[in-house]
Parts: sequence; C-alpha cells; structure tokens
Amino acid sequence: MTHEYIGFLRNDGSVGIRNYVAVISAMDSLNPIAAKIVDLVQGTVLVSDLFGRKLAGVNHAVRVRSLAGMALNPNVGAVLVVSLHMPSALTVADPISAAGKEVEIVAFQECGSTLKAIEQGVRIAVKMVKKCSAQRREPAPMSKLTLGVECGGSDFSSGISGNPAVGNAADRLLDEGGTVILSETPEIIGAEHMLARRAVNKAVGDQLLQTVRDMEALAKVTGFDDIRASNPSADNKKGGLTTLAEKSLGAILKAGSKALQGVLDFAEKPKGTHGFYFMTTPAPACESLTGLAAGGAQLIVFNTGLGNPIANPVTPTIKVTGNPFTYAKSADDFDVSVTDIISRGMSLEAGGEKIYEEMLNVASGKKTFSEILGITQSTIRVIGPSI
Amino acid sequence: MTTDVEVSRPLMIMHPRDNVAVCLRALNEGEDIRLTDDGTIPPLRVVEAVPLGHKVALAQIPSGQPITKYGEIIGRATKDIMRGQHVHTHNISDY
Repeated sequence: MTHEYIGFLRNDGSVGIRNYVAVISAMDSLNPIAAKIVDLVQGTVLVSDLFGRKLAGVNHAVRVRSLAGMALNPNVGAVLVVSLHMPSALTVADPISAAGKEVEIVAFQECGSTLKAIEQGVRIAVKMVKKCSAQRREPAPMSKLTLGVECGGSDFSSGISGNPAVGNAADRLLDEGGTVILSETPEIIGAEHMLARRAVNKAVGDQLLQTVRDMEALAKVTGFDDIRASNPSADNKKGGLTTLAEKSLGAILKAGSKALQGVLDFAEKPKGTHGFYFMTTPAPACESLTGLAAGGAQLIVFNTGLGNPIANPVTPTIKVTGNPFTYAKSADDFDVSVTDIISRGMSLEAGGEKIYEEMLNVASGKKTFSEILGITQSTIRVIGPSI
Repeated sequence: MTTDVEVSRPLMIMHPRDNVAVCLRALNEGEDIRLTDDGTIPPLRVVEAVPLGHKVALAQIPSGQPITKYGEIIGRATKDIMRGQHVHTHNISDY
C-alpha cells in the first residue's frame, strides 16, 4: 500500500512537513535578541547555539554546516539570520541564499541598538510569516520524507518494544522509497560489524567501521572511559542488559532492516539514493537531533524508555515509549504509546503500524507534544577552546 | 518501579533462533511458563527467580556456547546454563 503526506513543496523538489520561519542566531551574544524576536512572532522557531565567535577549522565548518543545514531543512520556508555584524551573519546566510532559500539579515552593529535590532527582526519575521502562511499544503509521495530515528533514556523496554517497533515503521517508509537516518556513533559500538554487514558495498561498510574507530579515538584523547569497557553501564546491567553487543543491537533495531546506503558526517545531507543511512554524531540527544535536522530529516521518531523531553526546533519529533510503567506516569509526554507490546501482547508489526500512522499524521500537519510546548534546543559541539 | 501495570505475557522471544527470552515480569522459582498454545514445546520450568527485564535461558547452553538474542550472538556462556536459569553477567560474557 502506498501513502502520501500533505506538505509544502520547495523549489529544490523537497517537501517540508512545516513552513516555519527560522530565526537563526549566528552568534551566542545575539541569542537573547533572536529569542525575543521568536517570542514576539508566532510561526517562527529559534535556532541557536552557545558559541560562534573565534571558532576555526573543523569547529567553524561543523557550525556553519549545522546552522545552514537546519535553515535549509525542507521544513523551513524562510530564514532570518541575526548576528553581531554583517561578516558573521553572511557566513551563515551565504550558503542559505546560494541554495535558493529566502534569507534576510539583522546585524546588530548596523542597527544601532538592542531595541532597534529587535524591532527590525520582528518586522522582517512578521513579513516572512505572512508569506509562508499563505502557502498551501500539497500531496507528496513518502519518498520525499527523510526520517531520523533516535533513542534516549533507554531501558529494558527499548530493545524489545519501542526500538523494534520504530524499526518496523522505518522499514515501511523505506519500502515506499523514503530515507531513514540512524545516528549516535557510541550507541552502535559492539554491533558495528553486524551493521557493516548490511552495507551496500565494502567501501560503505569500511567507512562505518572507521567512523566507530574515530569516535573511540576521540573518546580516548578527550579523557573518557573506554566505551567498550564501560558499557553496558551499571544501570543498564541492573535493568537486565548484559553485553555490549546486546545493548547496541537493541539500539540499531530502530533503523529497520534494510541495506546501509552510506555513512554521513555530522549534519551532512544524504546525496542521491534514497534508503537507509548512518550519520556519525555523539550520543547526547540535542546534538544528535541537531545533526539529523541539519542533514535534512523533516521528521524524527524518538523512542525513550525512561523519558526524555527534548526535540529539535526545525524537525517535529514524535515521542514513543514501549515502557508501560513510564507511560503510566507520564502519558502527556508521548505522541505514541506502543506499551501494549509489553503489557498486552501486541505484535511489533502492529506497534510499527501505529507509529507509521502517527508519522503520516504529523507529516501532514498534526503537531507533536514537544512542538506545541516548544521544548526544543539545537546544540553544536565544539572540540577544544575558542580563542 | 511500581508494578500496577498488568502484563499479559511473561516472556518475549525476539527471534526464532534465540536461546534466551526477556522477562516482561519478574519470574518466580518453580513456575511453569507456556511457550506455545498447542504445547508443541514443553513449558519452561523457571529454576530460579529472574527479575523483570532480565533474560532466562530457553535451552541448555553449555559453557563456551553462544548466547543468541535478536537472532545474533550477544555473548558466550562462561558456565553451563540450565534451561529456565537466569542469564546475566554471572554466567555469560562478551563473545
């Protein structure tokens, strides 16, 4: 059976599931001003981060790719970049306009004052929201959808209910020609060889193994414990997980069962072939979700055993749990419950169908809990100090 | 964790090849758990208490043999494991 969603057609052929005006703060010192603009203008979302000045090399490159990537996400209809001065604004705005998306700039030092910067930003944002809100949704095939799959607050339920049900929904999307991105490199360690076996060719498999080695080397120089020796954690073990392979297999289940098409760098967009991709990101949810959103995921499904409230500002995030105890005390937080897998013998397929149905609804405009409350944050890692 | 949530089945077997199952409730020593409706597979006699979320052996697993969950090898038995026994860090290790 083929499905469609009703979304916003973009000039580049992509189809957004939202038509947000993104207000991007290109520098940490402008975050409060960008936040004021977003507070005042309904229909905008805030994309900000904690750094921005005096970053060099890989830090600078990752930051620009992440901010511009979130701006270029199909869910964003127009972009306002707020920064201290014009050169720093242009660093982020240039790749956005080069890709053909409407972008305007508020440069604080050219505005003259805080209030003037807020005023100018609000005027631009109001105009953009008016224009974006006039666009109508149109039908699109599921092949236009890129799904990010995430898990956090994992517990005994994750690997036996939530994650395999999300994986079933991911397979349904892949069967309809869509794209699925799995992230969080530390979470696949121990099962990377099994994931590499699913690669379309040896080069992709080798790249996956290399990205794991790189993450382990980074953990070592940064002073972390040996990931392989410290996982499963004491809490994991208390919950019943025994080995690293068991823990990681439970995590990769959420990406379904199809062939791995490629390995993406943080915030990198899949090129060409649709299908299943892996993106190298750290494990913390804010960073991982930022990478997925900047890589073009219009929708994220986030399974959590113990609970985790966060979502990305440009990508609606469907919260799922398979843990009936968690759901009993925090049903509000969840867009979909697949707790019947554990409590009522529901099949994983039926759980996957339930999640896929919610994906279709949210892709066509239904709001998620975190989206309604604005529980969103973007985060971009910085390695080493800014100078 | 409160246990006011009812659970309709005690075990979850993730893949037909698996030699362990995950407990959806705490299992008591001595209870018999039906594995198939028609009784083609003899019921599992639980030989020791197994906590919620932990694994129980579905078959005899001699020391050194692989532990299979999700149809994949997740570890190796470090001792002979009896059918119905708790399977965890005390009797398996990384493969």
